[in-house]
Amino acid sequence: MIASSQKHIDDTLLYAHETDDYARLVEGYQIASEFFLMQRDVDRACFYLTQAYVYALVSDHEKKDDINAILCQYGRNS
Amino acid sequence: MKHIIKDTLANVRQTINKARGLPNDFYTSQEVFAYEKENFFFKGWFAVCSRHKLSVPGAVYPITFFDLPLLVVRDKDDVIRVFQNTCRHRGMILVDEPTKTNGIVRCPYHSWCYSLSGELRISPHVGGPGKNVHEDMCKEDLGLFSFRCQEYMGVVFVNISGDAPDFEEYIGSLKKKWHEFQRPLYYAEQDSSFTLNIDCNWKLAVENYCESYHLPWVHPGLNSYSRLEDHYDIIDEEGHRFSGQGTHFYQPTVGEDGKKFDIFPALSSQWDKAAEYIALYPNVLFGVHKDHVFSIVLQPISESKTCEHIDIYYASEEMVSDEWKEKRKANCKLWKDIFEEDIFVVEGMQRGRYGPLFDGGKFSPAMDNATHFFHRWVVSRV
Repeated sequence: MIASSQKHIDDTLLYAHETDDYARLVEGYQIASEFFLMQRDVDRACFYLTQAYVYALVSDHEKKDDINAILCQYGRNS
Repeated sequence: MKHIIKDTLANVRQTINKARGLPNDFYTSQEVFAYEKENFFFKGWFAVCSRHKLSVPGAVYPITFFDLPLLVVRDKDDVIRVFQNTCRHRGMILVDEPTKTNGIVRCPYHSWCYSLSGELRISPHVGGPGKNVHEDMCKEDLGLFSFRCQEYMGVVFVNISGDAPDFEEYIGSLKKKWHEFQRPLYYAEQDSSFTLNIDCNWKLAVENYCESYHLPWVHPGLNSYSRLEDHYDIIDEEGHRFSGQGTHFYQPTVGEDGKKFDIFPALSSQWDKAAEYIALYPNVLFGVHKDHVFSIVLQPISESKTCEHIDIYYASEEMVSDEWKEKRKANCKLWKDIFEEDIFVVEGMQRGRYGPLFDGGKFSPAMDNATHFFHRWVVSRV
């Protein structure tokens, strides 16, 4: 189940990278982050959330502040 | 510079009737070129680019001067800033091409992100995967390196050393002379700029620009409406920062449809038929007319190569609308044709300076004042 979901996430993100689709990158990395939060794997979740934040920042995505707030909540950004 | 004997430069300092021009080394030597970088450019103010290269808020424009990578940015509040185009992490070039951002510059290597005011916003995974903080990482200390910058007549100027005199002191005498042109300039990016890559030292572009002596020979087309005898020298006796030429007979000739570009408002009658062409040292050439203005930023590439960035500006918003596109294109072509006519002379003077017997040349006491003034400025900085 995990492997299959992770493959789906990886495929989605690869496609978003190939097409430089920043909105999809933000969404994909956020979904990946949520996936690992559900597994209580905070380090991996924050890895993906950081990726989401970078693309949100660069694209001035409406969720950039929300994403950063979660990173700060986990002590992963200041 | 050690091998350039003082006697040679003393010859340049003489009055024009006795003076010689700058020695060959000032055009052919890498050592002199390196000296000029520090002493003519980086310790003072020099032109970087037209402000209009940054057409919208969020625009970023990379340009290199003497191998120094610069990044000119325009933030959402229209403030222009100039940074070193280098990431604080691994020294990666941040931006390779002019582009529009959403207010963030992201290093393509490890995605360190900077705001357009230069602050480091995030250094992702810097404390390990998913950890964007580390006790030894202080964001406040890791912003982009910035340089003082100012604007005049649509051009961005920078001071690299950080300790040049105030910009107002640098620009003061020209600003005073051309105070009537202190107005908004309008620009149509798609048809009002071009670049010329020329095989000559940057100083030859300055010298050729600021004298009118060559006009009847190199630009015979100008004879019909801008004759040699209509021209006069311009010398900045007050600030010693520019020289050039003016004409008492400027007559716009663009197009045959009878339409005329709008004129800058509230100009005095002096400008009804006058136009002036000034080289502001070290590296920007301006031309002002009642109906348009242009700037040429000289980007020295090497001791024998220069890139000229030409941008033309107009007097009203309407003049940059689509309706005036064909007329603007004609005006741009007119100037491009004229500047291209100059290429063979500046490149020819460059090649001529590899002849060791050339002694700097003998100035015309009547016609070469603006060039001689520039040479004196050069030696005043050696």
